[in-house]
Amino acid sequence: MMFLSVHDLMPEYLNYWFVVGLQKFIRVFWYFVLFEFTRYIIIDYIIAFIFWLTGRSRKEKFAIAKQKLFSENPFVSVIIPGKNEGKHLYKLTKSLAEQTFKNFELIIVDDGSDDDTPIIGKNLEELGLIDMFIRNEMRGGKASAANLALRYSKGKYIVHLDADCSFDRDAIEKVLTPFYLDDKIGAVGGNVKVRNYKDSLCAKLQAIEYLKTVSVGRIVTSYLGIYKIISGAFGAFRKDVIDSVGGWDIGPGLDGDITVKFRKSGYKIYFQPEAICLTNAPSKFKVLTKQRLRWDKSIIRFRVRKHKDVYMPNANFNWSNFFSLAENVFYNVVLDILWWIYILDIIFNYTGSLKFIIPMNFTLYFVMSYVQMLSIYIFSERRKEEKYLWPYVSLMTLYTGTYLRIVRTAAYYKEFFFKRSYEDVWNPYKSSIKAKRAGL
Amino acid sequence: MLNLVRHNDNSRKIIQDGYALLLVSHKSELQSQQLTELDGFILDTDSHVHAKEIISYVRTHTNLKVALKPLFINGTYQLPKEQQIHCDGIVELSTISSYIQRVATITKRVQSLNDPKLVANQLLIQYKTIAYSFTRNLQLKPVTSRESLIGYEFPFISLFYKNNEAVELLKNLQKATEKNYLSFKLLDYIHLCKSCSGNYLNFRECCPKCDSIDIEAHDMVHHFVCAHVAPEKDFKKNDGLECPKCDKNLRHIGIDYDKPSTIYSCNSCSHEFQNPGMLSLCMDCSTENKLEELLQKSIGSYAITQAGEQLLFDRNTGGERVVYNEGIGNINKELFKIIVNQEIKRIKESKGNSVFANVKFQSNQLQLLNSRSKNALMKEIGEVIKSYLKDSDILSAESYNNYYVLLPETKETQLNRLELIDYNLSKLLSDNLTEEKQEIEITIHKIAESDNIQTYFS
Repeated sequence: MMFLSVHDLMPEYLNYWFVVGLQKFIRVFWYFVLFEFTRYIIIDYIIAFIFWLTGRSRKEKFAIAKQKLFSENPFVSVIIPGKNEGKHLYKLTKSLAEQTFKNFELIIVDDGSDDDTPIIGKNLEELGLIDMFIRNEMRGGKASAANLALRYSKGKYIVHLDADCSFDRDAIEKVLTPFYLDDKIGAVGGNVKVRNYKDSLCAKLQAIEYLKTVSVGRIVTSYLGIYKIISGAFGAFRKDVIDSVGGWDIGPGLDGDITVKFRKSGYKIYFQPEAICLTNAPSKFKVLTKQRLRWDKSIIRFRVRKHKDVYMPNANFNWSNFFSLAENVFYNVVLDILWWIYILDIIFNYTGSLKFIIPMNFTLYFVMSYVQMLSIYIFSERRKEEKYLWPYVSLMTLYTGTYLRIVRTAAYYKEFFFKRSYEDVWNPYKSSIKAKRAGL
Repeated sequence: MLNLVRHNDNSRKIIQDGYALLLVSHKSELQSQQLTELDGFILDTDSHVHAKEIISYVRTHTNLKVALKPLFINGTYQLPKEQQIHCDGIVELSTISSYIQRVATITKRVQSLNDPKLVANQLLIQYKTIAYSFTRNLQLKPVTSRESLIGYEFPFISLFYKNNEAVELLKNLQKATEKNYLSFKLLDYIHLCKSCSGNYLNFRECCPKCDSIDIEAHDMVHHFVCAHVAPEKDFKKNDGLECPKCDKNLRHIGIDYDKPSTIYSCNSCSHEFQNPGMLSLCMDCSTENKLEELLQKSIGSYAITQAGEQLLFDRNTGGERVVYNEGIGNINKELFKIIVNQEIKRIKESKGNSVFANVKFQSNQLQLLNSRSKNALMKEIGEVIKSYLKDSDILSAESYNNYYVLLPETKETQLNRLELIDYNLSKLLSDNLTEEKQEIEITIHKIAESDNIQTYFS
């Protein structure tokens, strides 16, 4: 007993992979090795390392940018389009009153609410807590509401928010600072985190997912210059640029769309991980499924169809735009298809070894989830709170690897073959049908 | 049978079934008449000015029985509704007999009334108005009038108020309603200038920020296909609508575009808003009123109630007795002093037993009240004290916490009523005040022959 080898202590399936050798390991787990490990471990850690190395100079640059921001003290328009958001408005105005950056106007557009929102909004406007409250009797969709707010904005920068979010005291200051780093930055995305992560398992898993894809994922893509989506919940835009691109187009997925429009007009998009916004994630899987179907459909609608010109070698061709969309489409759409091919490959070619492959696969993803979580830990400014989520990281393989993949596949199928996003009640039919006919 | 009699004094009377009605075309014709001898009047002029003077002369006559006499309008002439409401109808002189029944009814009712013993002007007007309503069995229903400051003219009562006193008129009617002499039925609300109570107001929308009325409304256009939303003027191009974002033509509302809202812009301060404010300019005094500053008053018809009728036939009052400088407790202090002085003299003669008592208490809490509340309190405490006194006792008050009582023909052994006052008043005050237990101080003095008034009121 005293001379038990390491092999004896490990489960049989692990021993199996030690015995068969690396070559077969790579052959069987090619999907993991080629795509997942390289992209989410190697690249993330390289960027994290560079990020750490450049931390000091970045801090200095930011300090100068902050100084410039406060010496210019630009007038900013905070716009919040929404429907039936009245119940959130008072809290939101209180949260914004706490901001360290104060030179802003608050414009709220009520997009045909059928609850008490108009009464609440008008009252808050009379009390001076909202600078302009615009009520649309007829619902026109989020894009039109945002465009209406944009039309009446007087600020040099537009900060677009969702009504049900709350913000760190320095969130607006932080989201504006990058504009003073580089003149070519046209828009800045804020960091969205889940506020209600204690509500349910569903919310906890999303909290981890947001940390991975939003917080860390966007630091990496932003660093690589391929950052492709500014969340509708929290983003800042240069008014002159947003005017020149004609504001928002019809959604769902308008936040990703406007980011691409900014990129196409030659501006850089920056992710600001320190500008923190907390949002409520769906706490039930049913609601989450609906939300994800909508988000995933928009990848096909906007990134594969509407903005396909980015992939064409024409006069406006730009490598970073190409990579930005291509990475997005590749890692979501292509890899999704490839994953199913991978499954078939394993089932047909390694039927006999499935009892070693399946547990190994889960082990790999399990380990990868925790390794990724470590990178989140490195980047995060809320480490203590987020420790609470660590035990749930073990479920992420099932959540992202299985649940979200199935939802995504369904969404792609529906959108690719049936253009179902145009039927989504999220946007009114009257404009969706027009957008569909116009191929937008 | 119609009798038209032309007198030497140029007055014209119609005598029908024993009732004499005077045809009047100018106020001077009334001044030369014994109005009490007449049974009514017929306005015989087409001059609105003369008619107004005559109506006012009759209806505001100091003798109520003259003021309430039937007053008709000769059907030959057209008088405005503001004048008609103060009269008893339009008569055709050729068929005057058919109106006599009405004259008889009114006359009978007028004669059943006592002369009012009221002195206060407002109460007198109230009384006269109730009497007018009673003698005509009439609901006082106002008519709209451009000439009135408040836009409404009331029958009879309006004649007692100048145009700028219309709000006082409404207040007086409201008081009569509160006393239940008149019942009120709402017909309208009026809004009056905060400064002059005028009703001739011009309402305009204004900028909520700078109050300027130079504002413009813009319809918003929402272009469905590209989600562009902007004022309609942004879309206008060569008589058509073209989207400034996607250059497409907007042809069909509901299919290509819609108009979800309206937004105003201020030409003075460039403020943009959706809910304009509202200002009303008084055309009489040029005051700008915000809507919430306007005085809102209720306009309605008034009808006499049973309590109103009782007021008219109350033998004691002949209307409501107006008491000026209402006495405190029972009688005022000066009169009380005279009575006490008299009582001292009486005691000298009769050697009787009378007692003078002084009831006092101290309260820091009540001391803080305003003089009006103190007066009300004084009355209330006076009533309490009185309730324990005999009819022959006399009460007077110096202030809310100092009362004098004269107890004639009362021996010192018969003062249990003062003990009752002591106990109950102390309890009443302690129950109602948060202060510690209230101590009532009662000083008793048997009136002696050697006393004089300074003994009690130093």
